[in-house]
Amino acid sequence: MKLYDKIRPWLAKRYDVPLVEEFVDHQAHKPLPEHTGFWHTFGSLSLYLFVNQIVTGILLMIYYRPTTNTAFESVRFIMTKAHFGWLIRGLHAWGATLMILCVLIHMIRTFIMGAYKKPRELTWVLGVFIFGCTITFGFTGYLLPWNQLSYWATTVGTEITGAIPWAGNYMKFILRGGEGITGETLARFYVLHVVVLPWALTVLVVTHLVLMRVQGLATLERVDEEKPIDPKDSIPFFPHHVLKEGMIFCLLIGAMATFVVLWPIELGEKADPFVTPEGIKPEWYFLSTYQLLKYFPKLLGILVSLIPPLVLLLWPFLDRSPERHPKKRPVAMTVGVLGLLLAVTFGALGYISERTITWGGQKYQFDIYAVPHRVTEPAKP
Amino acid sequence: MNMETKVSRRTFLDWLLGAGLLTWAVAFFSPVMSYVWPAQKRGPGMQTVSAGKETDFADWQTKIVAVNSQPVIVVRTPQGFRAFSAICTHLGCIVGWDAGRKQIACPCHAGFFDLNGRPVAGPPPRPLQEHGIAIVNGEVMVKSA
Repeated sequence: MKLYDKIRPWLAKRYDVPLVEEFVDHQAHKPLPEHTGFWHTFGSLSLYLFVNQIVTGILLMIYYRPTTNTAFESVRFIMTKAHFGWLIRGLHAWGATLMILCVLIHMIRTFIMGAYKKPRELTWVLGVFIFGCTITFGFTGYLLPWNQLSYWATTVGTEITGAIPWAGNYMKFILRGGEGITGETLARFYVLHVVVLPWALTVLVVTHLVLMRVQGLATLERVDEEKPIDPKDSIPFFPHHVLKEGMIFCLLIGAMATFVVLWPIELGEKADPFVTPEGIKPEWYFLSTYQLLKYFPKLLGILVSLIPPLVLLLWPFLDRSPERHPKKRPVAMTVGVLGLLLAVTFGALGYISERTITWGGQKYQFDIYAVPHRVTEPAKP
Repeated sequence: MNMETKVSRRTFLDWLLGAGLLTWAVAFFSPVMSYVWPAQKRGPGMQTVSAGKETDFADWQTKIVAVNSQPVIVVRTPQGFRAFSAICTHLGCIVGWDAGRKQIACPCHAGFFDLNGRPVAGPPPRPLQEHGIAIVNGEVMVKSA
């Protein structure tokens, strides 16, 4: 006799068990549209990675000490002394990068399949907030090891806030907890990273999931013409889609373990507020904004860099076409592809800027605008 | 002409309740917001610090010293000592010395400043703030800006 069959009578005398069973059964066997495939697993993957961040984050908090005198040393302790500390920190750092990547792919999939259209506009808007929350996690977490890269990337990142007219300096002051990046900043970022953002993201994700389950996955039919899913032409959530997700989840765990072992995230040198190292670059997901800001004066740069998130947020209300199929939405697809190409181009320019690259035996120095300059070696005496 | 507009007891009570809730929200959030506002704001410091012996500096030699906990770059030129805030006016990185160009250089976005602290290349929007220098008994003293 199964364990559940043993405890069911006890539960049934106290709670409305059939109601709960019916709800679980309905959710588990909900039919999904027939075009539901592997691209639909990236939302769940983002959720798995969020759980990974929570679990590894809790474990890191056991040894991490958020003060300027102890933060760097405590992370070094985790990486070198604590049993499997290198693995826990590696999973957390790689998990952060992969989570942002999965959320991005999930958003691109939603965009291509027109799933943001009526009646799912709010699910998309919540998704954009989830994406914003995820990269804020990245920004606040980056400072916590208190190393040179994180210190100076945060200095530059928060300095940009100061250019916002009227409120900028106040925002910078509150964010930093004073004029410069100090222990006050570290404490604030720590609180945001381990308390405020996890709860905010949990609320956003739960609401996003509830809306998704209530309205169901979008089909590729026109807006207001979606037919109820015929169970004969559908994919059952359980076991078909859950198995697909399980497969991708196993691949993800394997990939993460490989990345942690083969490309460990290094700690670098402890933050020195008096020495800025050469070639300070933000994490990959900020590279395009970082490069874009170089081409414009500070204020104009901020206004220009606000356009993409605003367009993303308002996109379901800007795109009024009733079509969902990507082949029938040439304008939306062109805008999407151009936006993505611009982001990748600016990101690549940001990556190669301020670097020296040898190509075909010739050395090139890329300046801050990523314009290459031939480096001529001085003649040997 | 009758300009009187009637406000029902229910509407009036709704307003009163709304105003009460708003007052409660302000009373609740104002201490929270004040708490979040950084408590310590440094006033103008008046520290004067030594950058070392005059004889320790060769021509075009530089050193970064802390004045009121802020980095200051001291440069010895053939005409004498100059000192500037070492915080780049662009995005707050710490400047260094470019011996080839004989200019103050920012490592973050290739900003350059001349020996008067004025930006001569790159994105810095303002000059570096200058600090006074006094030589006291052979000691290079850097004053607050």
